[in-house]
Amino acid sequence: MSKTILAVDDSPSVRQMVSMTLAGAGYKVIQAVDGSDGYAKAAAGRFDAVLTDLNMPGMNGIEFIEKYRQHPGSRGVPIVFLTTESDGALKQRAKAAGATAWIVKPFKPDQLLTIIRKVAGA
Amino acid sequence: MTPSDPVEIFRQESGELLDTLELGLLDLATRPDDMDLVDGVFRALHTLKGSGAMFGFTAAAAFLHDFETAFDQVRKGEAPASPQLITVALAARDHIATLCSDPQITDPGGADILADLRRAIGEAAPAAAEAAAGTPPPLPEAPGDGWLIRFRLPPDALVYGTNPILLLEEMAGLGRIEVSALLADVPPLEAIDPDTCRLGWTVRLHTDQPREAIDDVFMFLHDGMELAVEPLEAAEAAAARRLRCGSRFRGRRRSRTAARRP
Repeated sequence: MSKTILAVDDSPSVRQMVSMTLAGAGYKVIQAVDGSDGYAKAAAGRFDAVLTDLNMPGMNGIEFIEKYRQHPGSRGVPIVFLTTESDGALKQRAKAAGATAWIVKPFKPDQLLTIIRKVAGA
Repeated sequence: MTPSDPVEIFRQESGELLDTLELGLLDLATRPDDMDLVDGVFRALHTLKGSGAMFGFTAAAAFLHDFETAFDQVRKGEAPASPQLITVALAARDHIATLCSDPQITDPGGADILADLRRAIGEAAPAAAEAAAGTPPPLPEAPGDGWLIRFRLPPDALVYGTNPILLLEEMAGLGRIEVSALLADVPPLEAIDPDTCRLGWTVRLHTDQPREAIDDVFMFLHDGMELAVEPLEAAEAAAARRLRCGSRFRGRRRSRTAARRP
């Protein structure tokens, strides 16, 4: 059975790239357009990993991670966040909020796949 | 182009973000202290930069990086959103629109706009101190036979989605492994909390991979975990020495015991 990944990003092109990359490797991908949408979908389902951007309008990635980690369904679910080299402080906040791993932007499809396999398995 | 072509989706998305950027800058001209507007402009720059870099719009991404770095000073309250800054930022926005039209485009004129932007921010010159950071000491090269790795995860690792089996599998991908569990901290069955990781592991990894490969396995786990990595040969030699010392000690005890017997 394929593993299911929730991809939370306000950028349609990034969501598309993530979906194409992961679907091509056999994962099922559910998309969410921001933190609020991400939380609604994360709380309603069971995911093998959650991938989220940090800088989003409305509920941002940090707030999403904090809220999702309060939900019992998040136990054992790895959360990977997208960050940039210059986001050092933000990275620490995301880790403190309960994130498991991160990917530095810009990233290439194979880098994304490596990290998702690392935290969620193939 | 296909309907799901990410590059084409990026082009459409960049048009929307550039509109957001333009409207935000125009509103900032009348409300320069509105931090929601500043955040919105910064977010548009940040998203454009990240997406542009991923889809091969390298000139746009490089220009946006410098633009974002300069504008970050406004976000941090270190520089005002002055009329001069808004004027230059709008020119920069038009320049980004050109750069987002073609991933192959070069960037003539971008340096002048960025220089104007820095002047408007009040910055004397682009920061050049980043290269002054110290170089970390080199990690050990690959040892003769591999590595002895002992690790314990942070107690909350399981709750936060770290799967030790995947870590062990990743090490198995580097060579041949022999794994033993460290059980000393595991409480009696009735006291076990299934969400708390009390196990540790010792892994003898036979490989020619360098130390960096081990660090990559644990790259997301350095905070709060115990990790000791040493060359396998050295670790085994030390263990053998301890064993010999122990044997001699036991032998000496036996001799003394025998000597005391009548």
